[in-house]
Amino acid sequence: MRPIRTVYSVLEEHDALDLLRDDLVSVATKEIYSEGRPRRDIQKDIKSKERAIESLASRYVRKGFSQESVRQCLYSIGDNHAFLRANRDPCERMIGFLKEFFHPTQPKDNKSSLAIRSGKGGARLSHDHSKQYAYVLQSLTLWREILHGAR
Amino acid sequence: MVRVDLSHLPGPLELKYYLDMFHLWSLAEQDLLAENVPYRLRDTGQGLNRVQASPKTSRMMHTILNKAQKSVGNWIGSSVIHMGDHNVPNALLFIDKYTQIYRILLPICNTLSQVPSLAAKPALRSYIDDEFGSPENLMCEILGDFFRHGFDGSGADNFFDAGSCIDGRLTSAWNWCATLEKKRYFPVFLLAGQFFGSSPSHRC
Repeated sequence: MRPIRTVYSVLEEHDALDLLRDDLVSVATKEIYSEGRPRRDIQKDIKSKERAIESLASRYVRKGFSQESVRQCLYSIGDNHAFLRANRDPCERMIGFLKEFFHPTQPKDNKSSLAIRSGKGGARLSHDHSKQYAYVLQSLTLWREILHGAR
Repeated sequence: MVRVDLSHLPGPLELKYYLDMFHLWSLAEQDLLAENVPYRLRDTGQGLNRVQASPKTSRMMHTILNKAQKSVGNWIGSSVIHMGDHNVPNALLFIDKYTQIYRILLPICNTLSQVPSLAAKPALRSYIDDEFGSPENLMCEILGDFFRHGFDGSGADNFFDAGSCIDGRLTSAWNWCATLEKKRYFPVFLLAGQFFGSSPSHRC
């Protein structure tokens, strides 16, 4: 079994760790959102991302470490941003919805009460509103921590 | 060739993430392939499974859980993490559960974020108003139902396994997804073009 090859170990091996401190890395690896944005802006973002990748590729190329390898490291970091957007962001949005639509202790009415009782509607646990609120918040927080801790 | 693990990265602040999930993946791989940790092939009640302890993944999960518990103060429910037992037989099935979280949460988020644009169409607006009172009420109903019954201890095979253990929380959420078709607000998910994939077969 071989150890996992990480971006860090590849860069370290080729003495190219400075790449990670380069200001252009943010542009070169950022995700480009298309939702509700005009085509021209998206096109502009894509262009500047491509330019950043190309200038980093030529800046950090060295013997045994091709431009293509530099690009691959950058794509790999970019993949991680995409992973986080698909995986962590929904946890954060659900936490946001919980706080926006529900009060931690005082439900406005029956509809906004999160109370559950064992045996009712398939529930196996009995929690009053505030206990369930905390239980959900803690579970979602834990999921976010697992997917992407220490922010 | 390259898989991301920037966990020891001394870069600019925004890059200095601690990537727990990638770290967990790598630990799960080490656990599964460890030569000194034996495994048995056993019928766990969810089919024939490789039952294998996963000390490295387990330790990391306890660290993460500890951190989360410290940050919230009073922890509600059980803090048992199943691993290498009939509920979660090995590290691969464990990691798979957490890789699936977005398949539960993303369709809900997407549907909710489309409610305003759906409600902008007069015909759909009158459906929403007739059925739920208002777009706001509709969102509240979906969220309330998910927060109640996506986290109610349901989904296990028997009463003993049900409940609030750390991985059991995900089982309840999957169970909720499986009942979506019977909900009053199911048409809204269809209008928003959102579906849940089939749930993973293993449970806890």
